[in-house]
Amino acid sequence: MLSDVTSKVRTRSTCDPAQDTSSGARVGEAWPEVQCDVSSFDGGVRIRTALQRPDRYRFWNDKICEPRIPRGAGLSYAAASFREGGLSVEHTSFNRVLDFDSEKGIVEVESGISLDALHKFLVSRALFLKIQPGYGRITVGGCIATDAHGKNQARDGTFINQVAGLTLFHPAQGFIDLDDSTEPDLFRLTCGGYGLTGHIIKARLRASPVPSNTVEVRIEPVTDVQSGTEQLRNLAAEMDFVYTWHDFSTTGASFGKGFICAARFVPDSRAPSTPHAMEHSLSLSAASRAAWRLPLLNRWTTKLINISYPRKQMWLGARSLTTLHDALFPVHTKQLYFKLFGTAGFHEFQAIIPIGSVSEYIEAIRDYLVRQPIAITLASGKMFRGRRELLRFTGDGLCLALNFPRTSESKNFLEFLDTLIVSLGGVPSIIKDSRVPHSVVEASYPEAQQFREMLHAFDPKRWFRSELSDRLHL
Amino acid sequence: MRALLVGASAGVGRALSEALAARGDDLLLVASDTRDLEPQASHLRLMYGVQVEIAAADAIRSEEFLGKIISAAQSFGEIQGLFFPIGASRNDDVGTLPVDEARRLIDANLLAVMAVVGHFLPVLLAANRGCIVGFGSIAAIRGRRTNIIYAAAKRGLASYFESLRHIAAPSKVRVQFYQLGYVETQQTFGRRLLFRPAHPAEIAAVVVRNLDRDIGMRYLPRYWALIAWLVSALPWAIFKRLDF
Repeated sequence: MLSDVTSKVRTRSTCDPAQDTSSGARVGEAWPEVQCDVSSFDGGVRIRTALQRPDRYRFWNDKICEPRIPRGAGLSYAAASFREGGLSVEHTSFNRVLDFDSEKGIVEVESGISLDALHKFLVSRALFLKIQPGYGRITVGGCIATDAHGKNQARDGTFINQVAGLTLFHPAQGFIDLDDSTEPDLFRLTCGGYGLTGHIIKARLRASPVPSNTVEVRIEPVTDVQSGTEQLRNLAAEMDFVYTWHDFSTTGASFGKGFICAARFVPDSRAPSTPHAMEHSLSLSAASRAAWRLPLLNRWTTKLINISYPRKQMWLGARSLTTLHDALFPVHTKQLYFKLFGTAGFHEFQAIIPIGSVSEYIEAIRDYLVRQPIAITLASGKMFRGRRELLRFTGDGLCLALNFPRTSESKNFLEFLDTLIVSLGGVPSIIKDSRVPHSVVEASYPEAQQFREMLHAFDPKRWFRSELSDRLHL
Repeated sequence: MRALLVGASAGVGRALSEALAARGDDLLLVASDTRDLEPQASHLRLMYGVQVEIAAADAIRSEEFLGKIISAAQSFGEIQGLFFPIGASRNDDVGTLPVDEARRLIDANLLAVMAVVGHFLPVLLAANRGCIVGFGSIAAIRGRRTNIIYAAAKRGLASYFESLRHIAAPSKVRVQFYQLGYVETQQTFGRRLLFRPAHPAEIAAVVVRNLDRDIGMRYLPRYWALIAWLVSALPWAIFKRLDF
């Protein structure tokens, strides 16, 4: 991410300058920071900020002098880890496994560890994290701060469900150990708190036994979103991974046609004799995603892709076998997709729609697209279940994610979607949309004000700030 | 191998501890801050199943430094490898440092290494096996206007390791010295440099790969050998005009 560094390095003065003699250290100096232009992963927010990447625990001796925000891999679609003129503190050097209880399946890690590295550690001990997003470079700290979901939210819930506890650092309050029983309010405020309560230093995670390293993937066609939703509801309880894919590039009778992908563990004895074991280079960042100036996804290319992609999936077979790693991290084979949006970037509008309103939602989108064609490059559904709480992306309904290129027409479409989702009582994702307005969040998150009050009660001076928190008046 | 690694908390030292543990070496890690050593030791034990002990000792307090290492080494057991990815520098090292501050730099970059090697060398020579690996800096190629004491200490270290290699030549103890170019550390973080800084893991991988070879002194990355030669060959009339 430092490829976009555009100006000089300086050291930020601290109240407790480090004295260090280890390799690569400078005696009696503060931590260097670099001024750089950073962007949200979707390309919607590009601003100049200061970045520090500490690698030693004495960094936390620093008394707070100005607002800051923690940062993991910097892969959030929204600008949750930086703000204009602010200071981002990157945790990626704190990436170690600290403790492991094989009997309880509890692993303690530093928050900067990547999901991929943690998976390699756990799977060698026949364990894995059930709930994790699909790209291995994402950090555990990022998953906690955004309360990420996995491949079967309706059955497994969100990331908070596997957090047994965590250690938070706030410069004004020191290190605080949190879990659901000792500091329940702060714990629930931090999990899904977008990094606004402080630095997540380490976390204790509950891993689950790996039934096998082989996953059977079943692909079946669906005629539209409604029938896909019905199948999602039926399969969510019995399958380990389940989602739908729909074609929104046509507005005719085949609008929403697609397939349902349902996968479950099968005995390793069924694994193919030559398993797919390609190691993918995990190079995706907000900067590398935007490296190609020219966007290659438009209405015509999207149509072509949407014709060929489901055919390829069906051609691969109604039933195929893959590895657990590939099933958990599908984005590893799709990194190119995000680059095709070019420098301008893309939008993701991900929202939980109450089941009773799915038809109305889909019909309204189709009507809009008939009038104002937009290249919907992805429409994918998952079943969601859970109580709405604070600013966590939870609730009951169909979670439908839409991707489309960032163009002059996309702004109006997003405003239409904002109005639509609020009118239907749905919940838009905050972390997947770098521009979701304050008014929409207020209207769709009943506990937004409670989140704000709890945050201000814990940190009256509000030392942790980001573009996201500024935009949502947190 | 059972190795002592001084300067293990960050940068090349941390990467080297990982690379050595990955090949099954037991480690005694030394750095100034227990808070950094403990997570690193836990990580290496869990990831690689090796024995890892720690000793918090500050190289700028040379009078206590060796004692703490000796004490930790006694419980750790026989040491067969010594690694010194340690160094310290400061921006105001421009020729006006008070003597106490200058001494701290020399302690951290030179005397601390000499003290530890001086203690363990007889053991290694008696066992007729093992290795001693030191790390210098391209800052010491020629004296410049900045990093004056740091560079002097590192140049002294290079000479010291050459002598060590001489002493160990009749034995099977290997003495290696790496002159490091730009490396991704806090010192280079975000800086625009003429050449891409090497990742510490790249350096560590080369060091581990070379452990059984009598390589003497090496520049890392290797292309720094050419740069060093060019800088050394520059006539004074030109060199004195350079500001780097």
